[in-house]
Amino acid sequence: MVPVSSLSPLIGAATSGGRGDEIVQRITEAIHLGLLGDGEQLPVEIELARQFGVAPMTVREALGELRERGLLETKRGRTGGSFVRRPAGPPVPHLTETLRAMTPSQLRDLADEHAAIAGQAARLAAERAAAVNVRRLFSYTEQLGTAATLGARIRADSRFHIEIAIAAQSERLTRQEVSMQAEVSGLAWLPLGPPVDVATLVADHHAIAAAIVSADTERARRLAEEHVDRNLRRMLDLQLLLTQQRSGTPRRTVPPLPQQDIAAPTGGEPQ
Amino acid sequence: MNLEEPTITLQEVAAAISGHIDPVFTALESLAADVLANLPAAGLRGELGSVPERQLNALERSITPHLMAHEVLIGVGFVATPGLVAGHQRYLYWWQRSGSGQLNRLRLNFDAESVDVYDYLQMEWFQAARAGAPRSAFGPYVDYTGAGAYAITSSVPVMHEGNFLGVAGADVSMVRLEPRLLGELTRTAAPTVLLNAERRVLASNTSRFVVGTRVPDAAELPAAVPFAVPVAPPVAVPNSPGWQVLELS
Repeated sequence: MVPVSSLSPLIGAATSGGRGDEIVQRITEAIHLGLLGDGEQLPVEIELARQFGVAPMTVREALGELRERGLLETKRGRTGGSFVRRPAGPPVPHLTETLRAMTPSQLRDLADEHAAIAGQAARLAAERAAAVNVRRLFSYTEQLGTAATLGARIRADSRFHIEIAIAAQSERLTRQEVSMQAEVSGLAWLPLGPPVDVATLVADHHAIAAAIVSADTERARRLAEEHVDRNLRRMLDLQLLLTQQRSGTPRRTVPPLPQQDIAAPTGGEPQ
Repeated sequence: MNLEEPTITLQEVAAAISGHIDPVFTALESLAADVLANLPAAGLRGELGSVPERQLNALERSITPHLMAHEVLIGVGFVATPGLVAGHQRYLYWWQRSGSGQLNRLRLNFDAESVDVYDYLQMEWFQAARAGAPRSAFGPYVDYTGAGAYAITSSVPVMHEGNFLGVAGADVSMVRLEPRLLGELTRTAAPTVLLNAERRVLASNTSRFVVGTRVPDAAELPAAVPFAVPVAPPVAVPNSPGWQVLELS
């Protein structure tokens, strides 16, 4: 039996949609977030169809599209199947366009919803977390600080927040957090403008994990909400930068930093 | 400071912002005039039940061109004062543009017994116009019943010789309006916010202020937000429903 990711059941349809392009979108996000690991085998078509609530034919088309995008590789034969091919970095041009197309109030609305989910998940996690959850939270926090690539940082960041929801023992909150991470994390990490203050983020994560360990429910909730707010401000700043570039405001425009502010992929990424 | 950079005054920013909201009200004032032209003499006097419903159908020709001409609009219509239209305690002749661009007549539940009744008499935009405000706007707010979107509802009174007959109103889409407002604010480098009449942030060129939150009064501001002190008195946006531009330190 080829092992499939323990998280792959969580990438099912969040909404009732279930169209082929939605499947493509969600699997793409899951690959970038590391919910589906590099080289990992996807469940068989019939199982994916059940998970997404669509016909097997729809899944087949979606997988075809993902193959075309280079995100999946299909092997024939008895040991065959669809295998994940994770790209070296996040899809920066696509994410930039997504951010550009949103309005500040839409970003704020997204953060409002995210704060509700993340805050409640952190509160429940402080009540319910198991030792294994706590170990993973500290491990993802450490990985965030030491990750060698932008992609690895985004994954360590997302996995930390998803782990909080898992620690809360709530399947629904976990699905919601996965969905939020898929939507938000790539935007917050866009390599535009001033570099992300990784040290502050690591300190944030560490403080949230510590509040969860010490079963301080209110502190865990408050820190998680403040963390979402910090991300919102970062996304708003990036969006203003894009708006200024478009309207030609000279003074506050900061040229985008090259992606090489974080070292090139080494192959030895933390998982 | 680099002196070669173009500088833009707060007044210029306010005037540019006016260019995005003034046309909405100009359209509503033209609709209000069309409504009056469509009413029978008894209707103009505000006599109850004096306006046959079918007479308002002619307004379609006055309403739909505004919806087509102004991209920021998602709904435009006439909202009658209670009892004016024969056989209807509440009456609304309102058109909406759907996401696909189609224009449709909006029909709402006016059954006062029902929990989801849409009672426009309670809406600020209706009350302000009835109280005589020449141009008023409420929002942004989540208009779950009407436009089903984050919107601003703008209104002007429909009046004839002192008789209040209803409101010409429009729903302005925040998704459409916001980038335009932000585009004007980002022409100045100084931290600047656009506030509506209730001091709610409509747009901000700094991430310190988030759309939809309320900025305390100038007097309370330094205590509430210590890092944001107004550097000058706010500048009113010309011909707007009480909007103002505020520069902060």
